[in-house]
Amino acid sequence: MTTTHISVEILGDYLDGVLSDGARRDVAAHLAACAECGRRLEALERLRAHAAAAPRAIAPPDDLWPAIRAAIAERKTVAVPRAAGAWRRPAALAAAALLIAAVSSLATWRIARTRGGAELVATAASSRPASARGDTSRDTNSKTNRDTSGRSALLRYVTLERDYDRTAAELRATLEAQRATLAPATVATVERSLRTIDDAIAEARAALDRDPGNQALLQMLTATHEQRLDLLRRATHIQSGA
Amino acid sequence: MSVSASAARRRTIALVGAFAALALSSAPALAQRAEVKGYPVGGGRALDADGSLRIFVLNGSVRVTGWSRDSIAVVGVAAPGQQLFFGGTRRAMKVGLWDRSDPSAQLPSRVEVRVPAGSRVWVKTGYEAEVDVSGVTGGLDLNIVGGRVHVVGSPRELNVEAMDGDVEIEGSPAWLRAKSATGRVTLHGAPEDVGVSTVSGAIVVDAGRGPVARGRFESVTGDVRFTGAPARGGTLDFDTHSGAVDIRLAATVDADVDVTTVAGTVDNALSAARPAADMRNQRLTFTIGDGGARIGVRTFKGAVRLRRE
Repeated sequence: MTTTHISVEILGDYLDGVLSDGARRDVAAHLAACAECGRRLEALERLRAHAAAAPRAIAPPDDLWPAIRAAIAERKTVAVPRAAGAWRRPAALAAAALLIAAVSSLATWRIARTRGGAELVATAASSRPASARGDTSRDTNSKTNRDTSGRSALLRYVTLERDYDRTAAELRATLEAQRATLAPATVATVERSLRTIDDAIAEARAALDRDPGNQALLQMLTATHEQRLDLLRRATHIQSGA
Repeated sequence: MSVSASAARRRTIALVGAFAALALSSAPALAQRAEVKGYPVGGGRALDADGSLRIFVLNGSVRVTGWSRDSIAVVGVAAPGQQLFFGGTRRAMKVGLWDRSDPSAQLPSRVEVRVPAGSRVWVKTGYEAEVDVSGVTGGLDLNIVGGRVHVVGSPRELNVEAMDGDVEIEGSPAWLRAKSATGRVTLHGAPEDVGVSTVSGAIVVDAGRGPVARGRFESVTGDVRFTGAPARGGTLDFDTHSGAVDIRLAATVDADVDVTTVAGTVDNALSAARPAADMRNQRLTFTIGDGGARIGVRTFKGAVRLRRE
């Protein structure tokens, strides 16, 4: 029985056709024998097909932020089971996981508010093309294009950031549930690394608040979020094996 | 039937002989590592030359050496309570040490495993592990939490993941991915396709004269130092938040260079070009020679230094 699965990165490289011949053959052989990886590959293909079919720019509705806030508020109200008498261990772990997820969602919501999530969306929404505001000057065309591009990228990022934070919160909850089975030194390393990444994200995010259209910052933030998820995924797999 | 029985007998004798030879040759090395308290373990099994082997050691060290036989041989010192196990077939096999009474036991053990050079080997160990691999030309997938991974040779594929461990690679796997959170990743070689990622660990790549077709090196706060050259038409990407990026290119490199930093500095000794500050970032783009290869550097506040070897 196959117990080690191909990473999403390698599956992505396989789909991109960038693997070496040997690697491609090995992946193909594994896929032929592993239903789970086959499902992952299909999911990745579907995701890419959806991404490719998606419009390149999405005009945001004017009431975007209230909708986001409502969605976050809904997540924030996750019910946390109360202890009745002595907790059984699995129940305690599950409760801890839910509590962390709820607290993380609340923290995400607060960070989004305090670090300019609303301001970013407001900025993006207010930076409408000049033509949309009745300014038909040709001199504004270049700036208009940049604004439109920056606004789209920013809105994509805000949505992406929410997904990153949600996934990270879920992985953190999983990790928290595994904490008792990990060596203290391992836990310390993971926490130290997560703090390093969180600090970097906060610093870049603050810079983005000051300069919402900065494409380089958006790309850096996305890359750092990816690193955080990768670290969390690896940390949650430390206990897996045979 | 008798031929088959005879072949099986010969194989058994060969395995026993190989195991005995390994045990004798390894005895001094194992004895030197006296910190491991336990009892000797060993065994051997047939494994196809291109078979798969998974090695599990809860805690301790693993030395894997490729050899030109279609079998594996294991010798080692197991911590008290731990037990050597084998499982699987000659196409795909598991071997490892585990403690039946306490799966999370942290007592260190040490094993040496000879494997068919062309096999695919997967190793997983825990904290304070030492994994040494040499002579494997198939695939390698190495996972540790803390400690050190040292690979010598050029396996077809090499994937290393560590949490707190240092990774050192001496060779040029065709495909290489190495990750560590706080550990340092050092590469002496020029893989065709390489990706290295750390959180705070330094990344040091000395590719020598060998060109790298596709390279991506990223760290959050760790410094990145690259010495070498991209292949013609190849790409090298460097990405840090606050880690410094130091790139030393061979004199003959033709490349298009694109550096962006939000709050870092750029020290360019590759050309007369100087970074231009727009409203947002510092950006430096220039072409060396005829261009063609692409080198991209992006930092938030990490210093960027570009120079010749």
